[in-house]
Amino acid sequence: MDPCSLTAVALARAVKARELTAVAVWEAFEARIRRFNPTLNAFLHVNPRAAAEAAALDARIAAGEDPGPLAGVPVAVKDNIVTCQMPTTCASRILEGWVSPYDATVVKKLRAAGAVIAGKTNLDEFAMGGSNENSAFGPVRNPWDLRQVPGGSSGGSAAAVAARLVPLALGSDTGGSVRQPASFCHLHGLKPTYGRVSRHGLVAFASSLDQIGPLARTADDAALLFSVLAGHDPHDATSLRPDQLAPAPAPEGPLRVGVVREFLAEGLDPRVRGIIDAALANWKAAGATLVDVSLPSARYGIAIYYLLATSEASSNLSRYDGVRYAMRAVGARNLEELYSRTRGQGFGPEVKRRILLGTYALSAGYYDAYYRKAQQVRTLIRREVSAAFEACDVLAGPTVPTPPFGLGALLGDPLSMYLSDMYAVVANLAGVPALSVPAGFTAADGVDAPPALPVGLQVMARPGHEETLFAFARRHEALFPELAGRVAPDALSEEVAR
Amino acid sequence: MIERETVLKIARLARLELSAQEVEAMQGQLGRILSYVEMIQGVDTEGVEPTAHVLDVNLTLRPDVPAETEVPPAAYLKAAPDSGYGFFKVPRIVEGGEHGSV
Amino acid sequence: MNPAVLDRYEPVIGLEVHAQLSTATKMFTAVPYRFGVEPNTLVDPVVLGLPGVLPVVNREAVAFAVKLALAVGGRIRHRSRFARKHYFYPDLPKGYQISQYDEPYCEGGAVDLELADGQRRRVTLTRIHLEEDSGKNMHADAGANFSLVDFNRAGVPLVEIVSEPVIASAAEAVGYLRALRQILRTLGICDGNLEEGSMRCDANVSIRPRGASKLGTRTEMKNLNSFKAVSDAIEYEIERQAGVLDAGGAVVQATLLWDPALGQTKVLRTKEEAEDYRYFPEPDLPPLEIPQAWIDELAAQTPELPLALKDRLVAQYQLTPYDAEIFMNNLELAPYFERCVAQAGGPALGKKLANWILTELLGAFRDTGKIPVAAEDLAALVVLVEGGELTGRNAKDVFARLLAGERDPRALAAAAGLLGSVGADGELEAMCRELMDANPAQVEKYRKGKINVLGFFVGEVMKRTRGKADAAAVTALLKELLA
Ligand SMILES: [Mg+2]
Ligand SMILES: [Zn+2]
Repeated sequence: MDPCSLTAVALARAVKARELTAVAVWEAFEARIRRFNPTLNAFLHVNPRAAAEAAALDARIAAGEDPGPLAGVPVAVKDNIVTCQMPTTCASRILEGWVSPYDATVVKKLRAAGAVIAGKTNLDEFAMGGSNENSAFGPVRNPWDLRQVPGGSSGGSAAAVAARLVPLALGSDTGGSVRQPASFCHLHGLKPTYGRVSRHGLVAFASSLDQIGPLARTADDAALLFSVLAGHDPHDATSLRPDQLAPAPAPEGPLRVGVVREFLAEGLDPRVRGIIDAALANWKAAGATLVDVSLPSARYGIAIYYLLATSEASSNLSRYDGVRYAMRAVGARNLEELYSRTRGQGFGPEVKRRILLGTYALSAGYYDAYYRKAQQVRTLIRREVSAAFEACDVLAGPTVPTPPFGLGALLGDPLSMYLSDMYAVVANLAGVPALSVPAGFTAADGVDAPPALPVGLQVMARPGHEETLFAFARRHEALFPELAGRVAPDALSEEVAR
Repeated sequence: MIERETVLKIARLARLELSAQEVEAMQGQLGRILSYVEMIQGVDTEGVEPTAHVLDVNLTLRPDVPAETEVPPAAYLKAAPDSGYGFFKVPRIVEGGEHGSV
Repeated sequence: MNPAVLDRYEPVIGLEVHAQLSTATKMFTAVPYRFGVEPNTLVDPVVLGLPGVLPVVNREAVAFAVKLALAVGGRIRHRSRFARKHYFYPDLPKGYQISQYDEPYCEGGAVDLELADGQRRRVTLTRIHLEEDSGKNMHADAGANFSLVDFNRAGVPLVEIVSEPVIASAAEAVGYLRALRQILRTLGICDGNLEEGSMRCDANVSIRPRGASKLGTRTEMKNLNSFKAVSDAIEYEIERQAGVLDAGGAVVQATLLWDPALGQTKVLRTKEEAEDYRYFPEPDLPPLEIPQAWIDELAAQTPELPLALKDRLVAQYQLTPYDAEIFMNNLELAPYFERCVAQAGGPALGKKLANWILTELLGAFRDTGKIPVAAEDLAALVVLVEGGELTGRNAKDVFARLLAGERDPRALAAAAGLLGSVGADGELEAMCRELMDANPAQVEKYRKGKINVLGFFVGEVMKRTRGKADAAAVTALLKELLA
């Protein structure tokens, strides 16, 4: 039995039943990481203590202890989530070499659940990007086609799961950063309800939008990882207490699926449109009620997202000043130079662009027209989303308007890159949970054309209704069995490694 | 395009040293993004409360009880780019005054 | 200061006071704070603004702040908001301070104060908000090319109390600060120590020609870390601005730094260089809810304010304003005094009890910081005296034993045989006659005009009664018998 072909659910069960040791599981995955990571560049650090931790876990299991729901399952952690045992770089020069003195709450939860932390994955610097090309440590390649981006910013986590270097990974999603790579890599990727997963230890990008979420190949695996991550954390004042929001069970019976009119309009690639239309038709044929839904203010999503996210980012990234930790520029003659050189040398171009935009939007004379106005339009989006759920259980549409794009294709054009998240940002702005599920592949036609590329379908639900999303995903898997079995071919990675 | 002076002003505010090419590139890129986001100016938001927090919840407060520190304080100084005498070191502050503007 | 300046110009002063709340832990993390410990030892990832940390609000800091709002009669906002205030400075770990901006937890309110001449003033408040303190930058020797940063103080909870520009003089400003400090101490929420920086003051000063209605251009002075500095700096600035206006110039809006050694200000930054703080609502902290039930609970715990106490002591017990003020300034003594009054059966003995406390007990209290005699014991002692069962002289002996730690004045006096006065039923008269019979020569001397012989007889009687007789009554009786 090759552990790397098993789901996380099956792995944990096998390790608990002592059919597989955690050490054997880790060794199998580690071998794949060693073999494919040089091409994919998905991992920035591999946990040097993973084998020892797996051995300790085996000892506990042998002693009759309950190892937890993720017994022996290797989980990769996006490198903007802090860990004591490995550096946390956020794929930025400014944090290079920095090691956190504390573990993020989600990392503690993973350990308590019996997971083996596999390592830290590549990302767009400070999670700012949609292609993973904004990493100070090089781009990540898409395991389905190495010439394409894996999406971002959780591109390393997505590529690692898609290439079966790990069964599960953590991403973070501020404006689509889990779901867009999930769509590009044929995965399940969840952005939870704002406040359901602790942000303590997640290096802040845009605090009012950020959530940590799972990336997995199956609905059950995503649900399993989410169940470990979710819950109130006293270290995060925005984390929801059960009395503030009780998680809801999935509804019984056929799902009412709202189809967001604005998500199937201008700007949508016809290849994606075809796949989503076909998927929805199948749902209808299977007995779901399709409801026509409109979110008129969704068209402002990217505009307000970029004002709010950059404003908060400009604030959150002020702490990287070269005084207390990490990088400091050499040769500064005074304080002002210390700050501006450290930050000028430490941050990459996309991060600088966003800090400048956010600083501008918050500065005297512009706050009301930009930041405040964006928060008002955000209120309109929230109201529309909330109203839409009166008639349906989930809101569905494409996750991304396009299939994966080529490495370098959008690098000189930030705005076009931003538009990749036009459907995804709505869930962050409204605080609702959203899941991207594999929906299909583009046709692979012609010798020089790209091979078939993954396309995802996004479903959103009411706050606290993650179980509804997982129920949708399980039925979706049942409706499209040929998609569930499809994995990225190993041969590709090796082919281009030459 | 936005003014070069505007880029320089916000770069100073953000304490971000930019090369001449970066300033020029930012003029164009920020200009394009800003003209894109202008679309929200036409939205009628009369009387609409801004969303500062997406879910309508109140603040959870913490009991005033000291916690055990997991990390010896000296470790923070050791990890600093420059330290000495038990302090973090920075280039001499010429502005004067014991503290900034709390 | 040249008083002529005040004939021509009216100063308009507003104060911003930062007071450290004496909670067990910091505002947003469970690290304790103490003044004067080794640098950078009271820190954790939150204090240092490490990547990934989040603030969690200290409930006690909010409770302290609400008590202050109640004490000054401010309007408490049931839903207030934290905001980020941005600027780069080495003592500010995150590059922003978590503060409150357009929705502070308290607006309005007032502080009453009494000037040295007994005049009362009311300083109205604009607002009070909660925020976190910064660390501290230090400069090694003058030649060093580096500065040092200590983050021990960073993150300590502060209330910033902003007054309206209604203060008219340096003396009023100091009076306001003293009154405010007394309120903070009465509430037990801040030790008010200016030297240690647990209370800090910035002053906004402008002047306008007497009779003018338009406000003048103001300057903001920072770093006023003693009452003297507040007074000196304000007077200096009033005079400086008057000089500028007299010379036909215009006051420039600026932030100034007071140098107590040189006795002058220097410009920190002008309006053109003013910081752009880029305030926006703190996304890491949902709105702060202060429900009415919590406010009511805190109101029940809030003690009487110093000036109100003084007024009540005068009205209720007929204390002199001078005595009442001693109680106001020694706040633990006031409830003690009132417990004594209650034990003694009511306000009738209030003045007597106050005298005992202020003349006999205050010294020991000041020396030790502890109240040395139980309220019921002092009350019992005064009741014995006022009931005629113990003479004032003997009461002092008993009091000395109470101070030494003994209890129950009635038992102490009884055991020493001091209890009950001699003089009833002709006992005293008999004793006097017996003495006169035994000393005929002295009687003769008195009757011949040597009236100081009276002292001999009084002394003898007191000796024989072991002090239990009322000396005045004995004197009167002897005068009558010797006549
Ligand atoms: Mg202030
Ligand atoms: Zn302040």
